[in-house]
Amino acid sequence: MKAYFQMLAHYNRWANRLLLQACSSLPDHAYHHDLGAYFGSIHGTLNHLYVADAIWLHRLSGEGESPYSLEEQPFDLLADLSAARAILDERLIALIDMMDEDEIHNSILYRTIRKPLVMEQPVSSALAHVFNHQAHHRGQVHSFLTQLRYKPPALDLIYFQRETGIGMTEEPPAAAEVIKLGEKGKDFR
Amino acid sequence: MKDTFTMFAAYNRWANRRLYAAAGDVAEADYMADRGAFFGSLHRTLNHIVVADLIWMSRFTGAGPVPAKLDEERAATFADLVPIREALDLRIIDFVAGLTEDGLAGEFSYRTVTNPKDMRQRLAPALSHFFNHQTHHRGQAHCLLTQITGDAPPLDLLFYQRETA
Repeated sequence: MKAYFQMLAHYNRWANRLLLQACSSLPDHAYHHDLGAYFGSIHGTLNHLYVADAIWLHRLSGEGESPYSLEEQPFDLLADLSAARAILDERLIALIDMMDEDEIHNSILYRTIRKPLVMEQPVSSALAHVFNHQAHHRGQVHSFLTQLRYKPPALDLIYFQRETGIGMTEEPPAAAEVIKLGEKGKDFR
Repeated sequence: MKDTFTMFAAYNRWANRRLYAAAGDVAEADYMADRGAFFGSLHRTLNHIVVADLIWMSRFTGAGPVPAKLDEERAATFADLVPIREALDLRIIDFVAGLTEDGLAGEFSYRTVTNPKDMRQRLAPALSHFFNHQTHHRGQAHCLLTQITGDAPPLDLLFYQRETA
């Protein structure tokens, strides 16, 4: 499971870099234009994605700031958001790098934001949600770029895999050995 | 790994049912209108997800229909698309249920559609792409719905997890 989440953490950074770079070529008024989306504009959607990830990183690591509301808009400018996003993405990669398989299967306790309830959930299923949530909202921003007549970059996980070799057949020998030894496909790098 | 993909297969059906239920309430003209999305309309966006899923399922299983183009229209109307989606989601659930950990770690090969090349890959990362791709385009369909109706059902995996525990 660890290699799976490592792949998704690296993919998250890769996709965010591409997407934010594309957004930086937009004129300000287009970037902030209310598109009638759930979070209004491209900027509103990117802010929400940052807020949600910051909340989850805080739940998972006990570190960093934890926004109080899912509607919070911590940044006014794309440049500030991009800088903070880059740090958040590195933290997510580092957090998963430090986990072992047991920690990934253990449960965490956290308090929900909208109506404060205490929840218990395995780290693995929380991480699956975090990465899926990112893809959902990146898909929306991608669509807004198209609607604004800008050509968005392809964000397919399969392109990331082909570009980086992560998840492809050119395996590092050690990892390939592990699989031959029947480690139940824990590691597919 | 298998548990994760079992969850994603069930989540996919749950999310599609919610999305399709909302899309079914949209007036046909709005559903068909080109709203400048990557695949134009809500209809063509939902079609594309079906097409991509069919292509991957044929690669994974060696069976089933194989669309020739990524924007091929599998159904001309929403009513015709619904049963195709339902059958496909059940097929995905059944396919994942039949997988083993060894099978997930094993390789398969396929030929790409847009720019024909032979690829070899382990099954697990390809399945990760498959489920991630659905989410990406459901996100697009979701914002088209919000733009049309002002409302769209939350599709968070977290809500599915809480609902099904």
